[in-house]
Amino acid sequence: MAGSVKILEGDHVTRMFGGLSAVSDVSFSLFQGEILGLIGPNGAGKTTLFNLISGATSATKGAILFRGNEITRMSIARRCHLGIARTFQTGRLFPSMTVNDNVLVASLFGKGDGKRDADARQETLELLDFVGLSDKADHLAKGLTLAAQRRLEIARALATHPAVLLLDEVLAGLTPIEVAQGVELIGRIRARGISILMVEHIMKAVMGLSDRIVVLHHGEKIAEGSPVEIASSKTVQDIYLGETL
Amino acid sequence: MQSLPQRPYKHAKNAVVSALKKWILPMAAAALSTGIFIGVPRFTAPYVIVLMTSILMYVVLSVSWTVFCAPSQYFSLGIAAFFGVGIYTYAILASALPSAPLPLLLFFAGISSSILAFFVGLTTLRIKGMYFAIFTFGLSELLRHFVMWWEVNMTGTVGRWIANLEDVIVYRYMAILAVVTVLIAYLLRRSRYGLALRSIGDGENASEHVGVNVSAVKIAVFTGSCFFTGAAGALIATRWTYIDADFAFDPIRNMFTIMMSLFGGMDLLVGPILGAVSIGTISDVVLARLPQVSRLLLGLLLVIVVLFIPQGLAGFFSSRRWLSLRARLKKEGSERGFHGRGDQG
Repeated sequence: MAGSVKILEGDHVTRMFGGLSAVSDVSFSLFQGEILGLIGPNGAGKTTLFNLISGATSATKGAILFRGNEITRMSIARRCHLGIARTFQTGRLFPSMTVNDNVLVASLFGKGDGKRDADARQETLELLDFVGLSDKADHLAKGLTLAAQRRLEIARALATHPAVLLLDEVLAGLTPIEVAQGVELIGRIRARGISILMVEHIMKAVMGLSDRIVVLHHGEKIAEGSPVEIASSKTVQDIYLGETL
Repeated sequence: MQSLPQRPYKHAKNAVVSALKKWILPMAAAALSTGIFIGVPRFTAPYVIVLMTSILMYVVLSVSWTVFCAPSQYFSLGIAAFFGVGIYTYAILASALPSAPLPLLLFFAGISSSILAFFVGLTTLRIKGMYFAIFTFGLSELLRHFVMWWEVNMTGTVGRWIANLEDVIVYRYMAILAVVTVLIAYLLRRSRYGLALRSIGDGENASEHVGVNVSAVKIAVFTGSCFFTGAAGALIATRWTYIDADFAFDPIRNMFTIMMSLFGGMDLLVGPILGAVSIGTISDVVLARLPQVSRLLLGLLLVIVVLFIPQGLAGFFSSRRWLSLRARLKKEGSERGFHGRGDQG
């Protein structure tokens, strides 16, 4: 399923906070059409790596490349226009706006800026249908359940027409049924040809979805490989001591 | 299959209807209200014209303040600064070019406020919340003292004379300015940039992540909104004959404008208009009769609004709480009426 074209690359990326390196000399590649899982214990630097890719923080050393072009110093909005979208671990919807408007603003200002209003409205309806929130279009975002908020974050990210989607723990805190629905949704997003980089703690989900997995620990990449390889890796098992992968 | 030929027609019809709704109706409403405002002096006492001019000025100030500050959550206390810059630009230009037409002078007064707002935006809209408020307030005070110092030390005067214009002329221009301000605020709120501004207020970082060029939107709307503040200052100054820095940059205008927006409600366009009309009228009536009490009363009003109807008049009357209260009152009223008839019978 995964092609051989690199769409997103990290080249020896380091991010220091004071004297501490949150991400240290990490290199990775995301291939066109694949799902790359990013796992590691709390504080391993997963969210920092996401911030480096989306532009929320900038790299101290190293480079981020999108379709082979360096984007390390580019603004968040420029990266979004190129085709990088994300969700947030701690929900960052626009709480006082309706579900519909949350997606609409992304559709109007994301990649393909300059779209006609009517087209953006149409696209918003389609995306709300795609994630299963059509009946909540007029609700305020702050009134949604956790699962619905996650779906809305995904719809909003998709509205920017991403080539790469970064999912930051979209399944955390959900019930088993909601997790199953989320996994199904992520599968449908991949079927649209969008490459996905996902941080996830729910091992069953991330093992089932990912084509490859990268393991971070203390900001360093300690393992990379297929889910089977990762599950049987001695180093990874030591870190997740006691957890069955 | 059979519905296929109807589609182009339907599209064309939809396009016409949406164009009608989007552009022609607001324009027509604006033209109509301008016509009414311009016609009013034929039927009213001169005093009413003067009062209406002040109220319309506050409509301009509170609408142009609210249009940026409410959705973006950047609270500017620099109204006095932009107002005063408009006044001084007018005073200088009008004495240098006595034959220049009034609209042109007002335009340049607005532009100079916008230029100031542009640089303020460029340097400070990156700082969040309270710091922006304090900075803009400091700017008002800085300009007041700077202009005072400049006039005394450089021009050798304290204030400036401004050629007086007829009340009716000032009133008519103010009415046009108010209508244009409201029309543009309406169009902005409904546009994609209005939506972007709200997303900025709700979460600046998330807004950037969906592709909004946050700095550009903030600076553009702030710059645009301050145009009207400056033009309103210039226009009202033609009624005063004499200006000085203390009066032109009076910080009480910050208070008044924000109070009107709060009182009327900042979420709806009608809010600041309602606030300007009600507080403008109340303060004028009270000021004329009980000058000592007027500011006390306004202070009290502000406290009541903040404590009991934080969403303002417009917000309150469209809130669920009010609608259910009204429904209950109606129901009780009709029940009581029923009993009343029963007692009589």
